[in-house]
Amino acid sequence: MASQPPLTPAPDEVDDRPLVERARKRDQAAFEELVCRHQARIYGLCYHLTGNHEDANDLAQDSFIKAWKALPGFRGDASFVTWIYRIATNNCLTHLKQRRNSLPHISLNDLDANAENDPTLVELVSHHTPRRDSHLSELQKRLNEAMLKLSEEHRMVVTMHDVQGMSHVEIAEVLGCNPGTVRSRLFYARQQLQAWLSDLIK
Amino acid sequence: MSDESSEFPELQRLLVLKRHEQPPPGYFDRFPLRVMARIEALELREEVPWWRSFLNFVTSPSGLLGFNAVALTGLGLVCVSVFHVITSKPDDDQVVWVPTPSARIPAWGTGRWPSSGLAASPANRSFASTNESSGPAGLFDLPSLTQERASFVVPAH
Repeated sequence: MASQPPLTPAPDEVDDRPLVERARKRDQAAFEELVCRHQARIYGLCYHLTGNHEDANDLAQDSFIKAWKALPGFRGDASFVTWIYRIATNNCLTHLKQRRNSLPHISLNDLDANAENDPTLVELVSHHTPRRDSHLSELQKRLNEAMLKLSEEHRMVVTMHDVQGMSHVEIAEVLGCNPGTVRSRLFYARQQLQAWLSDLIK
Repeated sequence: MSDESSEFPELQRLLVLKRHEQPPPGYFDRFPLRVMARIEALELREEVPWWRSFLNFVTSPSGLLGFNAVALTGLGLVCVSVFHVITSKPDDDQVVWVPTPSARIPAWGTGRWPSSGLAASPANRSFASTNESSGPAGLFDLPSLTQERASFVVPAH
């Protein structure tokens, strides 16, 4: 899982301020560095919220472009990563609301090579079938279908917390609500997922 | 958070699978380049005024071709229209009736049906009908019938 973004940002990654200052003065090289730092997380957020690589690609690019445009007005009250998360979140919500009445188009990314060796998944799969490859794909499909059945708000907290490893406080900061709301949404979302996937997780 | 996770251990394990979903290889190498290319295009578009963009488009090879084609087509249509207006004449079969102020109605029995005379009258171009059935067209222009003898036929009573 080498290409997976870290669950919690490393201390050296947190300090985006020098780059942000330069980018605010329209330094494109500095902004490109910020894109490199945060692209995997922003893309991941968009991908897990839409279940679609093409949409995630567009939304992630749009988010960074909106950030570039809005950067002169960025006051630095929140960290850059929180700010860009907010932009991406709003972008995704707008996109999902526009497509609420149409059937979701699922275009899943492939599992990386490490998935087959992940002890957690190996144990999970071994309960069901010896054919690990095909079963992992089936699990992936079922899991994504269940995720897309959640409301946008609930899918968002599950994605940020359970998939991307953000804390309740960080999520609350991004969503502009209090951590208690995040906890309750997370609990409800997990209950729903557990009910829908009960045959897979015993 | 850990207390909540412990309520859904199996689900937590299943959700680990989502972390293994990765975009195509090399995707993140190209992503910043794409974003920066779009930003540069955006910056250029904002800096250049619209007339300059139009001029650039027109002077580009593809734009020049398209623009010239549209311009030539438009010019051709204008020329054809002007030529048509200049060269077109009134159709002789078409009845054009322009009553003159001196018109008056002939009395019955005078034997003079002006419309038959008008049909052959080159001097009176305000009536241009060869159709005998369109008699009323010449009823009100008797004073201008200068050549009625040339084609006048007295009806038998």
